[in-house]
Amino acid sequence: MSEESTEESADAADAALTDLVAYLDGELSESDTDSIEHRLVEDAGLRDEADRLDRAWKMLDSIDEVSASKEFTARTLASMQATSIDATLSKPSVPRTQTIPGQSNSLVSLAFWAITGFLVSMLGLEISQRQADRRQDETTVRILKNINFLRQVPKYRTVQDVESLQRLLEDSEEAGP
Amino acid sequence: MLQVAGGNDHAFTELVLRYQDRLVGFFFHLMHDRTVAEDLAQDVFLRIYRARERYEPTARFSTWLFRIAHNLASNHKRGISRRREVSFHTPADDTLRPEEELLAEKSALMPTRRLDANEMQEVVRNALDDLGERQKMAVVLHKFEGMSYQDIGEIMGLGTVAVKSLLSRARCKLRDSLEKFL
Repeated sequence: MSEESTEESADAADAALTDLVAYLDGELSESDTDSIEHRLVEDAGLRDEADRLDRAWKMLDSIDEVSASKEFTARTLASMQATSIDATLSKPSVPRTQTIPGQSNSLVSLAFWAITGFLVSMLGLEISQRQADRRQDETTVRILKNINFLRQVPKYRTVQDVESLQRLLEDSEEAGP
Repeated sequence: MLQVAGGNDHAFTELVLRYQDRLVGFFFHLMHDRTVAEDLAQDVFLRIYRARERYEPTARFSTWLFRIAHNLASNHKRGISRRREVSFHTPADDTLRPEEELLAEKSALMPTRRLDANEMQEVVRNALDDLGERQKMAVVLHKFEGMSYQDIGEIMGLGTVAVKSLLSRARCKLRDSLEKFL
């Protein structure tokens, strides 16, 4: 037999074997299945081959199946939750504004800081105003407390000694407005 | 999976419960290490969770799941081969491993001795391990996951004809390895 025909025979044998395995796996078309079954009826060698292939395949059933451990589900779900938290934390808290092509976010930043500065200065003014108002209030209270005394100031100019003036002030405060 | 994509985390829990045993089993057949199998299975679920918003039901979910699993298994094996400096086991090597040597001795003393279940399991595992990586993957997907040639092709990125050829060679090799036990 020439080399070519030997090679062709080998290829044909390989093809037959490939079809036989596909037949055993139920993967052949209907027409190819019919063809193989026809050959199996006629060819004892092919039947023997099919039997050995089938028995070797079934020996794989002796391998024990392994299933997930009891902790697997909890561990996997915990990892999923950690992934979920990481994803939430990595998202920017302020939504990104859409930018018009050609412009950057610097205008937005500038506006933000300008408004912030204005608000801070307004707050400072408010605080100092309130402090001033509080001082004014205190002054008003003192004035009202000593209104009687103050009304008599022109007359008190004639009083020469300090002790007498002090006594007059105390009397005025007790008397009230 | 569509519910998961919509943000339903309870649906994801359901998915994990439904597929965890299959995934762990799949990786265990390939890696023979439970810890590695569970780590890889967990990695698959995390990748699915992270990609959930981009999920589109163009193929069956299980096909997508096992495609990810197949890629992870291949990457893991590639990583192991790079780290291995001295190979203690070469599938093509004719040298017997210790357990096979022991079995051969026992068989030589008692040729008709039947192997017990554990020994048989060991023999069959070794025969599976002696297959090439792609042959083994195809066998595991077909035998233990019940996948069709078309599904296997989608998972492994092969045409149906290539899968048919791959499985044919794998089954012939298995037959040869297990010949004396048939």
